Amino acid sequence: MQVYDAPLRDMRFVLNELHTDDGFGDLPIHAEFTPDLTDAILEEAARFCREVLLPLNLPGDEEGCRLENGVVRTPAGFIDAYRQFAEGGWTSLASSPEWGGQGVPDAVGKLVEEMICSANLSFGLYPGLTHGAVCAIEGHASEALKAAYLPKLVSGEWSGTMCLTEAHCGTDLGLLRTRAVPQDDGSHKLTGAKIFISAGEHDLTSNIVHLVLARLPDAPPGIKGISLFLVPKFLPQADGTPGARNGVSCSAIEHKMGLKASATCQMLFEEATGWLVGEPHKGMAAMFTMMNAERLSVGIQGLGVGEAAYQAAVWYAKDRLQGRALSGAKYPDKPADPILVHPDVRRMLMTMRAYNEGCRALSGWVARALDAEAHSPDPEVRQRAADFVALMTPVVKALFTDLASDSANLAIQCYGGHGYIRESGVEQYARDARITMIYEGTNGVQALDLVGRKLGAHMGRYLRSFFHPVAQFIEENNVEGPMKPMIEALAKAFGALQLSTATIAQRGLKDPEEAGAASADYLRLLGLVAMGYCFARATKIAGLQLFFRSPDKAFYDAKIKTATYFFERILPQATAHFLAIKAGKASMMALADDAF
Amino acid sequence: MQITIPHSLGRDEARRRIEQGLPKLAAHIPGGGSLESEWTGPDTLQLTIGAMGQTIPVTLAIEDAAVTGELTIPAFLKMMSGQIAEFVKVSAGKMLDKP
Repeated sequence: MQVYDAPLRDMRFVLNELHTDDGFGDLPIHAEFTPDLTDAILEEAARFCREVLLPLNLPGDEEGCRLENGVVRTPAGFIDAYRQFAEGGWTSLASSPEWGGQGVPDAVGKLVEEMICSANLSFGLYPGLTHGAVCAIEGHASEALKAAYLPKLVSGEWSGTMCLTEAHCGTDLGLLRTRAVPQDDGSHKLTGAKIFISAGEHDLTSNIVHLVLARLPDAPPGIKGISLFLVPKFLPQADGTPGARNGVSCSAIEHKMGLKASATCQMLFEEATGWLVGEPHKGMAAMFTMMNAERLSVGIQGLGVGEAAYQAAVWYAKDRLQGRALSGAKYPDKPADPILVHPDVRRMLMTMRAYNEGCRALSGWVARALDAEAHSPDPEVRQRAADFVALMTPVVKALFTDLASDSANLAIQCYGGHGYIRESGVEQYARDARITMIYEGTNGVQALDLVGRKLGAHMGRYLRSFFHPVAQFIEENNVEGPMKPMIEALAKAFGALQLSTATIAQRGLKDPEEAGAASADYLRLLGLVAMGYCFARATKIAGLQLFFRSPDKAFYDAKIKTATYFFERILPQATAHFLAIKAGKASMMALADDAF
Repeated sequence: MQITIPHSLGRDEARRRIEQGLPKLAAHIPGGGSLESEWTGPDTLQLTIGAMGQTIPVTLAIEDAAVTGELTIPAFLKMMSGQIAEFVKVSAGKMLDKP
């Protein structure tokens, strides 16, 4: 059964307690966002997700979207839910006040994003794509375009999309064919066809603003010849209201494995009027602003689905009575014990729980860095934060979504046969989560980005933004006491990560395929160390809270137990990934093409 | 961070009770924790609370009508400042209450 209540206590722990000395906090621009205020925001977001979005998740999946006379109809209830969402200010939460946003820190905004994704991932895509469009326009568009489009995108009156993929090119965008022809008035006419466009057409907003990659007539070949254009569904009139219909339409909707209430469209551009965003032939740089924001958001999608899947599994494990505990009946007054008592069910639940709490902890750290990158008055802090975000973006995207897919499948397994039945609601999480490993750059591409671009960037500066705090924490806490076993395990995994980094750097210089072969294992290894670091910090804080007699004993006790499970049962996987990296590409690449 | 624990014992009696109570306080520190103490002046006590690999220095000054404390709380634990202060106040208060 789909049950979801936002894990507010853990969210407040990540927001207020876990990362206080990372140097990314205490930003003057966010001084008004006290714990009392952020608590109120989180509680209201939790209520909205539970009462408005969650009830639409299962029926929305059953009904799906349909194309009627050129308009995509979203499932019943979505129009009203979106209206409430926009009127409640949720679309503008983390956007800049310059454009009508509320300027809430990303550290809070990402937690709200997680809740939305847990309650109704399909719904979350509509405002999610708009947020990415806002980032790209804000970062690269002319002042005139910003003034014409940002206020309505931020308010949620209009929505946004990113139009990259074509039938013959997804990962390799250098092959794209959509054309843009300059006009005398400074606009362009775009012609081409795009596929897999989330929120490309729908009935939630009065206008849709497409950010489209296309090629100018004089464009050089490949990725260096791509420009970014803003193409609205309706051309704005002088007063800013939607006017004439533009030459952009939805020709078909995709029939997908999951995310069925998200309108994923095939879009036709037939001499559609658009305006250049950024510099000619520099479209990828502008689009990457949007893509990097979206990659972090996709990671949060994974965390959201993972948490929802876990809660659904816990509900079932407490409700379903089957067999007796191996150590003797725990509930002798019942006809059988709840399956929660069985070690194998515990294994699955604890694994999901550790994944979710570890990812949430890491996400909180990255979100603080996003805020510091944008708003710290100290240029060195801004640089360090930017380095950290750049390093962690592929990790957040790939790690969180891989683990979400694992969690969704574990949740089905907890349900036994009922997990395979649509009405249980739990199999939807596996179908919804699956695409998150693929879009916004497949997880394989994320791993290549990590080892190919991020490891060596600026002589290892990105890496140092992560390695230094971990090394310092290990050094400061490697003393006799209850933390020692955890610190030793973290030190061992960190050592494996450092050795792997050196191995990839050395081998990759001679043979790029060696770096490629190591990339997926390296990303996972780095992710495990990052989660381990966060869990070690959490254990220290929780232990001190218990020492100083916190009244919230149950929470801190559970945190230590979850962290201990992670260190004993999940972090040891680091050794396997290290050995795989050490083995090199040989066995992976040995089989000839025609032997497959 | 500063704290104050008022008393009506006079300086000498307050000092005597704290000196007498320190070994019991150290014995009752929760599992895995430690308490070290050193008199750095006739009426100045330096405490170091240790837990989870973290040390928190506390300087207590014994005065005629109060014990005042200065706590050095690391940035890492600033969210727990109130609790740590309360822990020290309660512990000092217990020592002062015991004749």
